[in-house]
Amino acid sequence: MLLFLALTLTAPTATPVMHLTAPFERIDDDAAIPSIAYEGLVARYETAYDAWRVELKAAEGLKERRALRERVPAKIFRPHFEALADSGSGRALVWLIEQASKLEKRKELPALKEEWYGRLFKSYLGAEWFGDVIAMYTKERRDVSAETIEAMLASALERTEGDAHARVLLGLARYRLAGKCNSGLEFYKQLIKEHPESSSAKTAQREYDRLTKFGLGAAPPDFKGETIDGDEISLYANRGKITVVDFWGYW
Amino acid sequence: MKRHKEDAFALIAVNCHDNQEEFLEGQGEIKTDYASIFGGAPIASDWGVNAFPTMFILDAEGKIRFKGVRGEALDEAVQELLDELTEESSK
Repeated sequence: MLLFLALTLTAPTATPVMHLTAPFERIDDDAAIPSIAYEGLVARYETAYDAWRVELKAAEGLKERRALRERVPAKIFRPHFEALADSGSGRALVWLIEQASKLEKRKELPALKEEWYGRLFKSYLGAEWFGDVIAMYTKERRDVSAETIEAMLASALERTEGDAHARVLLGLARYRLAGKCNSGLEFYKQLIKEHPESSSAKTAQREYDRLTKFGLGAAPPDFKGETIDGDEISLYANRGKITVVDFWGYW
Repeated sequence: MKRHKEDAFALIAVNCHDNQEEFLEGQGEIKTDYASIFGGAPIASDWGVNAFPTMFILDAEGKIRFKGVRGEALDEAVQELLDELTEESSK
């Protein structure tokens, strides 16, 4: 146990977090922070977490297990990720949000997440990994209100262009559709129209097609296939009949 | 479904198994009275299939009318569409 503690105490000083001298209100991604600092910290966290898990498994008795749970690595590493976030690492903020439920009691989470998401949406909209943030954010149910999510996304739409704008549109399309709201389709269309070259365009087209060409009431395009006997079968050849298409397979 | 051997019904089984040979070995000789095609993974991807089995039922005009129905619900859905077809042709 002592060894474990020593490891985490010395770890942060081994690779110092780089502090920038230039002002960085609008850092759009982690380019300003060598990603090695974030990667390094995550790697050390994961090592510590694995070691902790082993200890937890080997623990005997409720008292020992409870004590271990108090010292969950996420809590120990928190200040270091917070320092990294303060130095401009957006991904450190993402880590903090992901670990939030390990760090504080339930009732503290809304305020915490409000701060961290707020900082992410303020300064990191341009990051190429921001799609993950939007996905995470739109899945929040307990700690962020629907009104806040709507407002944040609307603001993000106004403040972005190009690929970043496309990412917000994609997030909105999925969010709306998850809420069974058909306006989601409009966001897909807008994305495809305004940002055909963006990295999100292909994904958007595929998801849009699935919903429109292969949704209820839609007539899907033809497909052909070969049977074991070598005969060619096409879907359209069955027009005029009630056709059941049965997809099956094994994982 | 076996009841519907009328001409108005067709079943296409799209197999998405990766290894066709392996599958055939395991299955032995397949004797079916419906069309079973292989190499369906790209089709499944287009159709948004992410779990097996997934059934789509198309009406006579090729429109998807039911998705994901199984068992009794499947039989009922097919019957409903067959009835619809009979109604149409008797007009």
